[in-house]
Amino acid sequence: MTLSLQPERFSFRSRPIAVPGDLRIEWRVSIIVLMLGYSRAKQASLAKLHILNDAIRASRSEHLLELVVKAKPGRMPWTFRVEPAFGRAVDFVVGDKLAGWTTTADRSALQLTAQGVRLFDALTRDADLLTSEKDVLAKYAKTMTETMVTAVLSAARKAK
Amino acid sequence: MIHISHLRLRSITANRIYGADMPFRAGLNVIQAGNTSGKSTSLQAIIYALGLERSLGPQLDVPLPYAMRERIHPRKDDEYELVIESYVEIEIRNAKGQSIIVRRDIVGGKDRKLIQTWAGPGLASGGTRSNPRDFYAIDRGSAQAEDGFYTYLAGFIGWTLPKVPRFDGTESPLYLEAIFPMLFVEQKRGWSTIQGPFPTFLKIQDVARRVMEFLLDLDVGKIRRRRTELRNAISTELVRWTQRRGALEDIAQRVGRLRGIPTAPTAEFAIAPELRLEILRDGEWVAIDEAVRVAKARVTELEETPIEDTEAAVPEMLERLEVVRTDIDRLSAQLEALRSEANLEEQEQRALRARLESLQQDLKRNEDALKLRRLGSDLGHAAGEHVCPTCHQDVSSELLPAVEAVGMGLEENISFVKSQIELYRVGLDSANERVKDCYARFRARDDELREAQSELRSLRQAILQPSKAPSRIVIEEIVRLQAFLERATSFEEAAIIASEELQAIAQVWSRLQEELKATPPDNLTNNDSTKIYALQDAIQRRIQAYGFRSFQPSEIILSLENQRPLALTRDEDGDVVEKEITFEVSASDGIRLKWAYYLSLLQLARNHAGLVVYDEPGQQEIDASSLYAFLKDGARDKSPGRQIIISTSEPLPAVKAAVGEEANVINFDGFILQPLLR
Repeated sequence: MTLSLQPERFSFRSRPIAVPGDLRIEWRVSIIVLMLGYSRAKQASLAKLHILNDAIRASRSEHLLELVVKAKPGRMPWTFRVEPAFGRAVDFVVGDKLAGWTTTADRSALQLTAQGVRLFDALTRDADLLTSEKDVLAKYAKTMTETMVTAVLSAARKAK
Repeated sequence: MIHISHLRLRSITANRIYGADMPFRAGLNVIQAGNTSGKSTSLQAIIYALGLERSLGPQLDVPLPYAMRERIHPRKDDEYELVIESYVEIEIRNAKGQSIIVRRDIVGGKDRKLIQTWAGPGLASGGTRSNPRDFYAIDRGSAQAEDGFYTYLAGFIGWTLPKVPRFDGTESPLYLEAIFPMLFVEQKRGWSTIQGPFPTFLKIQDVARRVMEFLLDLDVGKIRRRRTELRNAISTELVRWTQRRGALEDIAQRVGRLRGIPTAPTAEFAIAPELRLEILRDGEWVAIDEAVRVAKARVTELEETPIEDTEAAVPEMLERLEVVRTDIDRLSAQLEALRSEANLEEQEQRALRARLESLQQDLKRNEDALKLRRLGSDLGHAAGEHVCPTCHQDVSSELLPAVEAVGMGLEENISFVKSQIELYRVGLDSANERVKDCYARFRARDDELREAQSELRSLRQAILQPSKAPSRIVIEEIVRLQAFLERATSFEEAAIIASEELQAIAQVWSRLQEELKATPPDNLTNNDSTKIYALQDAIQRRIQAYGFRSFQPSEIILSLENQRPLALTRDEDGDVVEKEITFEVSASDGIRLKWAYYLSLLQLARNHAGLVVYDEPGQQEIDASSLYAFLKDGARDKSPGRQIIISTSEPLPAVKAAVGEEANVINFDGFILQPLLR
């Protein structure tokens, strides 16, 4: 047996990787539109969106929302996570003119545009879509005020 | 069928009674009056009287304006008077010719959840009403309980409402509130979509599809229903199986371990069940028969040996004592090892469970993302087309943390996650098995240990006995063996009974599985397609007549899935594609399509209630000529089984000219609700 002097070259080809559902743009954009749509005046501060986002991402923190809305503030050491992908999705929402920047309670906030409201209506009309997320958001996005957001933020700060 | 024969509104103040009476006929009825005169009030009162206001939206308490709730005046400039009492009454008629009067109070009367009905002479003619009945509406159970109004109303219309699946996995009837948006177009939200809008609070899966299947009486719905029934029956059998198996396993665990009963019924078990009980003997699992045989032989052997007295037995006993001591040490060590093994297995089981849970969530999200594509360009450029709205570059993997990686396509991703779920499920199943096995071995060792300990105790006592007394060792061994044999026999008896029961369950299960396999697939039957195409033709003809311009009428087709209208267009590559209509046609053409859709459905759907109500069809500043074409079309239908009620503020002469002599035109100058003459 003779060994070839010129070994065959290896070649690597990148295979597509599995993408978690919450990193899908269509899913994320829709969720943000739902968060805003269920909120009062179709607007919510960025901080509130981050909190809702963390609650939606895993059922783990969903009961924390319950605490935020129902219990006395200060009793919830919730170090919620800020997710970079969420920030990028927010940029898309704004870039696509589904929502625009505004301020509420001295925080930068997003408000749905007419186009965003139209998408929100389409999303809520389709009872087949995003059911569990809608349940959570419909319940908490409306009831969570910016004061509660402040409470969560300061509680998180204290907990550290 | 349900027709409205008469509508009566009453709003009572301290000084006088305001009211309106409207007689309706089969065929076309037009309520003509100026803007803000109370046309919508009248039509919504019909829905309110029937207790169906939640079909317009769950939050509406009373969907009626303040003239029926708070204050009222006869003319625009007059002073308001406070409403003290108000109610609405309608007379409805069904295909059998039965008529009833339905009354629901609004202010000051009985509870709003109460709906009263009477048989009796018509509302218009007055007179004594007979056979009063009270029903509850709105509350839980009103659609299924005997005295619920919806049960009664569905029966009156002649509908047998199918059961439909809900999002939470339970089933409910296809509520009237889900169906009525296809019969009643409310002014504020009703014109926003072609089908519906359907209420979402009922949490019915695929509600549009279910309603259309029911109204058009499609076979596919019935087939799916049968399939669901079979699936439910199968899962009931599965639950019975699991319970029975679990009970037997509990008994088995006291003796050893159970083999040969699958976790779910199988066809093989239905024919030839084969179950084995094994017990641990010296570290090996042996069949119970074998263990029983060995035990019996030993008993016989012991019974035949003469019982020695203690003195003679002492050396042997001392030897045995040593052996038992070693055994106890060995067993204790083994038990410790088994305990930590079980811990490890349980940890793995937990990890697998958590992984499965998150995979399932991921699957749901990916599936939702796929469904969201239906919304197309409405989602925006980034989500809809994966193009950055600002720089127009591809952003398909933009939310991924590692940007160099290429993400899987959605469909590929979904099947990838599904296969992972499958894998982990198998893993979890075997982990469960291993945990159980660990415990079975643990218990067996534990029993052995206890036996050894008790033997040790009796040996010690025996050695201390008077030297002439008979040795207790043999007697005690016989007693222990007898106890084991008794346990083994009682288990075998239990196993025989359980095996028969399990076999019976497996047989039922096999039969159900067979029937499920024989059920045709969830496709439209030829009969179904014919119905859908007939509806499509009728709609196309109508929109042509109404001046629809966004597409050629022949380019508007119905989805075979839930019969929503789709537009056939060409994409960039020139291929014909189906697009959602909502974003493709002009607002006024959407209105035309809705007119056509509801009228065609009234004409063709076999389960239709024979009633369509349009509140102010002249939406979106639509051409008057289109509206008149629509009114004329509505007036043309002379079938006695159909009733159309339309409200409009178009001028009276033009309306009359369009609908001709035969339509019932009810005209009001000023407010519809006026003081009644005493």
